[in-house]
Amino acid sequence: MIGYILRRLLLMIPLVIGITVITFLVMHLAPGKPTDLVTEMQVKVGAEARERLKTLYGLDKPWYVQYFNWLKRLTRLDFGKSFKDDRLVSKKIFERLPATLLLNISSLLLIFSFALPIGIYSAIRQNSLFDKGMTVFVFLGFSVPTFWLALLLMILFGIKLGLLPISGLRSLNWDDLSFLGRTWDIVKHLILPVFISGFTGLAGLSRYSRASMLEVIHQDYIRTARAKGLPEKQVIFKHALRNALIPVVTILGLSLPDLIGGSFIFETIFSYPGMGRLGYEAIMARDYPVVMGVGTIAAFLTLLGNFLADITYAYVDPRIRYR
Amino acid sequence: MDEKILEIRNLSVEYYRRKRVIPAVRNVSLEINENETLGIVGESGCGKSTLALAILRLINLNEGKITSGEILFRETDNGKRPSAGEAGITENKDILKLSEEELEKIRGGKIAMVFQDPFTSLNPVIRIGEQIAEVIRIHQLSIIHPPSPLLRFAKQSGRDCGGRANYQLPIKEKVIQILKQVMIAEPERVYNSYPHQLSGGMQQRVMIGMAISTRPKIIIADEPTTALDVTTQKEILELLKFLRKELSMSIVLITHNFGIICEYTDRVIVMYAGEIIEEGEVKKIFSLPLHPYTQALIRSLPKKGEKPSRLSAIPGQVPDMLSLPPGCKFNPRCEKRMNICLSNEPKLLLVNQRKVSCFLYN
Repeated sequence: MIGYILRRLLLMIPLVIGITVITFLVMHLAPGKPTDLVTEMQVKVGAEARERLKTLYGLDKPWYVQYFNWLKRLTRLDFGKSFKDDRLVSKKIFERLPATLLLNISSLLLIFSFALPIGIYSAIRQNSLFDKGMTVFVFLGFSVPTFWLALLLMILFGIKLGLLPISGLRSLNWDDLSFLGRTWDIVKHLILPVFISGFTGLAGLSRYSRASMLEVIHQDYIRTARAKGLPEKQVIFKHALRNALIPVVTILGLSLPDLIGGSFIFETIFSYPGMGRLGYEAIMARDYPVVMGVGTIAAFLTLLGNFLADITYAYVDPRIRYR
Repeated sequence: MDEKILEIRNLSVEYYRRKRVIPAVRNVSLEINENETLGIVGESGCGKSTLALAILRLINLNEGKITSGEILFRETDNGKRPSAGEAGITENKDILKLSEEELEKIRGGKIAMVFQDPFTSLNPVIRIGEQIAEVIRIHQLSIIHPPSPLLRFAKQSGRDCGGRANYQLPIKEKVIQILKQVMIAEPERVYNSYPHQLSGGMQQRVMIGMAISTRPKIIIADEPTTALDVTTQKEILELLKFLRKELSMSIVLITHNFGIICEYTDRVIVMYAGEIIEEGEVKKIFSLPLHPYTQALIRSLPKKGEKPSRLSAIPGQVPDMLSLPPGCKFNPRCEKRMNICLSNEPKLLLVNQRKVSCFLYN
């Protein structure tokens, strides 16, 4: 097992390098230069100044030299400084992390605490009214575009009813609020984004756990459990659930990158100060060090999530042993 | 001996598939006596497994249901059988009318099952020890409660709270004992194993151990050896035979193998297309089968010493339960077919100390 873990971790290195090479290349292929914002857009700055800036940032060298310089710094965990405001990339990312974690952990909790019971109950009462109703709900959850739903809900709750704030994480009067007031303020700001990001996730995961549960309750060992005289509750929760949750573990592992990487769409719509918006703004400004920083972290987390899912798999399913 | 412990009357089971009705078991009546091994034999799809599942109401309600009949289980007080002459308090319960709770006491407690494929019938993520222990626990709990602090106090103060003596043995030791009883060589290791770490034969021993752990009256073994290789088959069947005697219970052995029937059962029921077509003592049926189907089945067994160039087979195909022929269901394949067979259904009648349903005999 330890050998397996080490091997998997070592294999991550070439993968991360590969992903960063591609990100770096694509980023350089995109039209527009980081220097454009301060040069092309401003008449006062001449060609000479632009060249000076390029040299300063090392942009005059070929892309692969730039990449190797970036990689060299990365080995010291140095992501460089933002072109935009000259601040450390790592610092910028750490600033945004709590907000993104707060949003995504809340929505993940929402998704899991509702999707699993819904999925399991639908499976146990297959073809019941509840099950059919949930099928319709899931169909909606999958097909309604979330950005559109987000805008509609913002109009309804934020503007028409005036109940919830529609953007950001804090109100303007944040500094004047008491501790309880601040907590309530954050909760109010979170309701819409959490609901929207939970909505699609809920649909997917409830469908997934329903399918998994349905498959399990038709297995022979469930019939054995009933034949043993176990009460239905124990048949479902002891014998069926443990088997049905095995594939769900994978989903949890795969949601790790979203958890920290954030979502470009939700965060932009809700002007939410998280990682997703940081990445989006950096791409728009061609802020190479920030784009690379966010991208590398996202890549690493995706790989780590996969890896953790595999390890947990072996833990929950005794049939799987890695060597 | 010869006392009825379970009686099935006019049982019918139907499956529903895409709005079509499959009459899997049709109007079956039979009885199981104490201390006997009853064999049920028939081709694939003749309804023998469905019959077995129906006895414990294990038919998946999404797939089918028991449409009519009675399953009477004779329950004696205290789990003790009345000795000859002494009238124990007995009660006939219709399993089909029991509440879910009462049914759970019978399932695994009074009537246990051993299924065909032990690998898929054991829960893959629960250790063997626990899978056996939970049966003991659940059926003990229905009699007395686990040793609560109060009970322990009562014991220390020397009062008997009516707990059974065997409860004092920790469940783990009981499980180990059971594993030894089903001839598992390393019970400690098996106790902590997961099903996939055991061989097929070992898994089936565990299933049997699970079945006998509550000292049931009847074990229904649905093709217990079909998934195993021939040498293991014999070991498992010998084990069942041994345990039946030692624990004095009844066994219903379901198989499609007439050889197994001959060797391990006392009485046999031959099923065809969801019906019983012949029933009687194994020796009599084997030496003189009456129904043409039984005759053909026995003829198709390879004989010892002889080397036939071809195995004799029954012509035609296993009946399609969705479109059964009118009259006797076996008529399309029967070599002694008469005109009446095409229109009328024969009834199961007593002929020569056995029951047979064929117009040749009435």
